[in-house]
Amino acid sequence: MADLKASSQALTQLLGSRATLLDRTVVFSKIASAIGIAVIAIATSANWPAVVYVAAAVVFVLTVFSVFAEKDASTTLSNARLAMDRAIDQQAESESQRRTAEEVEDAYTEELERLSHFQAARDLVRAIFEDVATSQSTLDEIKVIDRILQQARRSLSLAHGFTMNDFYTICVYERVQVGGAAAELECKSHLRAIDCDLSKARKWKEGVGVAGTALARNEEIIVPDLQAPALGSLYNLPEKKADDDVRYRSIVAEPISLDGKGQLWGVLVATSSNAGHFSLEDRSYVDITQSLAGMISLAVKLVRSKTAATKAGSHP
Amino acid sequence: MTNVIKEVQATSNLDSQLRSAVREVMTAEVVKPSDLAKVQELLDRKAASARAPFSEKVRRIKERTREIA
Repeated sequence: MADLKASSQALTQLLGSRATLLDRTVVFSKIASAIGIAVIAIATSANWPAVVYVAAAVVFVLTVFSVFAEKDASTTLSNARLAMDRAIDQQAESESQRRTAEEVEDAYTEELERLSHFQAARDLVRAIFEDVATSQSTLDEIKVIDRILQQARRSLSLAHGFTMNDFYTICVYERVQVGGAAAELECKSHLRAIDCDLSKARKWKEGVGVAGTALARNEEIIVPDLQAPALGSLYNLPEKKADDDVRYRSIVAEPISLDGKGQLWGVLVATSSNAGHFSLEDRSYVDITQSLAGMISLAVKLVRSKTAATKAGSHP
Repeated sequence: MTNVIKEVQATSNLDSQLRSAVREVMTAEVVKPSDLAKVQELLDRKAASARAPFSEKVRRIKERTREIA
């Protein structure tokens, strides 16, 4: 780009000096023409016809030359300038295309990085499942889920696109029956940017909040921005904490089902402090949460079937 | 062919190391941070090996873009 500008300036200078030369030539031609006209006048009064013819011919040739020379210099300079401007525009356009290509490459590289971490997390879950399946002792389902989250902590946060500056949470809630028909969600395992005691984690009644709504409707709920004016007071919390508005902007709740129908086992909730992190249009991060909910469901089913098999084996 | 065999062996090694590290964590009553760090290191290596062929393709595309520019 800089080279092209320098070339443009050099060319302009070159053409300028050529134009100056032509200009001088034209001035000389005009002076010579004026002298020629004076000679014609004198020769006419002195009655020298031969001199008059020669001077007239010279004046005619010089006039035609100066007209064409002027036109040639200005047109050439103007065309050269236009050509260079077009070249500069094309260079700028190609630079812009190169930058776009680089941005696309960077986006692909980041996506590769993110998905490779998720693939590693899936490999880890597979290893855990193998261990549970072949283990002689029976493991508690919550302990298995907790070990999955603990061991895959960094991979899962990277796969979810969380960064060092984000407040994020990934919480596994189990549905528990409280009294008659009421049910609520209790946090059984979690990953948080800022650790907190599990006993201090909020409980969600069926139909209350994003998690409670996902439980009541047995549906995935995505809220790109909890503070979006269009939401109104839909997900307003009755007991809001001071940092809630900063820490929880974007949220996704995925039902955890064991049989694909009937009552849910629980809900997996992921939150981010970045508005729009979880999006309806771009499911890059939502898909990771959904896959993790599927893994948790499989873990519960595996532990339960292992427990049932162990019991059947010990009581023939 | 030798390279392919070596690559398969390396992946298989990584898998068995991961299984072994996971077993230690799963059987532990209290999980030690060092055990978690070991698993995470193996996961990072798994992730790196998963993206290696794609990273190579991206690198070639980048080179080609620079050539065009």
